[in-house]
Amino acid sequence: MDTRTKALDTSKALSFPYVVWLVIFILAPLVLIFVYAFTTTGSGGVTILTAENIANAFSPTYMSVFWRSVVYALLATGICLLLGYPVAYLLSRMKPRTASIVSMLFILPMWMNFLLRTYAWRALLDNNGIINQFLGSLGLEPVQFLYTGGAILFGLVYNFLPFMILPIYSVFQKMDRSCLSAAYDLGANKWQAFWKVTLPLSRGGIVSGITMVFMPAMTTFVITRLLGGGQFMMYGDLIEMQFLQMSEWNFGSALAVVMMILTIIFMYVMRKYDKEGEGAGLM
Amino acid sequence: MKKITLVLAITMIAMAFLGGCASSGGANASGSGGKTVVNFLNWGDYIDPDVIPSFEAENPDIKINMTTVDSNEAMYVTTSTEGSQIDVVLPSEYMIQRMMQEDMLAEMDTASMENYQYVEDFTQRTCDYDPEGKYSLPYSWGTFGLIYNETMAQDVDSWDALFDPQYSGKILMYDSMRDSLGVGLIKLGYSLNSENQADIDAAADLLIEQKPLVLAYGTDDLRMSMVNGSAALAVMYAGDAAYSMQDNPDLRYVIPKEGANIFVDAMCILKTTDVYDEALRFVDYMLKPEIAAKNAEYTGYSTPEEAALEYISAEMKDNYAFNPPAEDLVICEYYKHLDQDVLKLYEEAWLRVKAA
Repeated sequence: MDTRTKALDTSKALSFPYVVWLVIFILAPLVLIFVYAFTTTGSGGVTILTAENIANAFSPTYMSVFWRSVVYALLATGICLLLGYPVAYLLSRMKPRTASIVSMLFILPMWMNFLLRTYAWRALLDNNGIINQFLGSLGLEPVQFLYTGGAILFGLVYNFLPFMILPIYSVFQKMDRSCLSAAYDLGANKWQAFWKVTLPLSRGGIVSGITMVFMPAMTTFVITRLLGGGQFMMYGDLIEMQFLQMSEWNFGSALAVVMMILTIIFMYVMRKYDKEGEGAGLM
Repeated sequence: MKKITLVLAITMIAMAFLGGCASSGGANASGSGGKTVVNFLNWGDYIDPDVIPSFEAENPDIKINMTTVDSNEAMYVTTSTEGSQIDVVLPSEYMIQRMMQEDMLAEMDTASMENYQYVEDFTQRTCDYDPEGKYSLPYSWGTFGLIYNETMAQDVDSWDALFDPQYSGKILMYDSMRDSLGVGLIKLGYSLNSENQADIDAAADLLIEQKPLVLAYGTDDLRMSMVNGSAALAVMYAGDAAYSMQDNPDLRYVIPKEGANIFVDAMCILKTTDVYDEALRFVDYMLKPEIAAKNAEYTGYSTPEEAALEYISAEMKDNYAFNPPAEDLVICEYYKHLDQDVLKLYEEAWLRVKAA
């Protein structure tokens, strides 16, 4: 008992710098957002408590933006899962040396800022960009890639795919192979073994992968402007616009609060599916 | 329970600390090795990159710290946000009017400036919102018209081209509230400064109807798409247009026959500055005809200084976008600063367009 409390004390002391960081840069701004969201400046510069901002955030114009964000984020998450799951599986079956080289290749682009990578895609996808020049050399008409909904989806998948692959890969690595052997011994075919053993065992990785892709995809704002040409406004753009163009800090904060609450609900639902709790550490 | 109180206490302290930082921001005026820092809020790519170094070389006691934004609205928000230390700012006339109304600008000591004489004429003639240059001294001016690629669009002389289905997917619009709604308002025959809700809503409806034809909404990035031939038509500021035309000889700039916006961007010193004298020296330096000419050549925007024209290349002087004849400007209209309630109508309308 005694040694346990001691260990707790040390860990407390070690966590102190982070707690201070957390309070200054996460908790305090969060409180400010809530304060802004529930207040408004009345005549004469008086601050008034109000729920009007929050109510306005649910008006049809803003909800249409919200649902557009949900649709794009869900599509991006789905594509990432379809692409990422087999990749993670194959990676886990490779020799450790090969696997580390291949996973390095996935992580390598992430060493560069995502904004720069997205700008690079603008040049590649342009009507006169490399891809269309290549198509042109094959005698094909140029395709309008840039400034389409597809370009946004591509940008999201491209930027967030590693966040899907890595947690699933780490779950596959830890998976006990003897479970599969047992399934085969008991007469399961490949398909059954996958459905009954592999998939349930990798659920933790899938859940954290989905969370790690869905959240940033839902709140993204630069990708839509750079690749979508400002035509497909998403929730992140909407919030940015309130702060930087309309100086509506109160309403911008209200939108942020609404998004946070909906996000928390989503996380709660996902966590319920993740009964094993394997992904919990990543959420 | 104790823990919660502790966390709450730290949060309160942190918030007080963040607030404290904001209000003590002004004290950093003499950082950077004993030099006085003048914070200059500019538009992106709107000054010849040699100008600030040459000013600093001539004035070794001053360091210019430049930040950039991409809209007048952002310029206003940045300058008026508590804690942001900005000394010199370069907004357009309608934002200057707002800043003057809100008493944000310091008076210019024009009597002590060597180079005020070069903009005096332009200021009195053109800047009816501040004819004595008391709060703002013009840096550049220009129109906001249409640029088109002759190989893809012919005989463009009206805003109608932007709503013509034959250019579907080849039209670029400007991602800025008043500029885009302004196009709608002019096309419908209303004033750029309409305060009538029905006019503004009609302009927004028109833009929503136009949206399927639009390739993209952008700002500075439109230049690239026009130069490399990805689009046929764009709404563009004359300076960007002048530049694009140099890079691609197929491009033409027009001030549409229905009229267009004309603007003046002018340098202002904020009342909150701690470094007024240094800021004034910087503004004065920017008004030197050689420097004004350098900036005009670099940005492609017209200069308010007659004296600067002699330093500018003949090619540039012949460029229609850079130097349009005075008679073509008669139909152009300045933006006026609109009241908060009217602005609200514009904001709602613009949001409706963007969210659609």
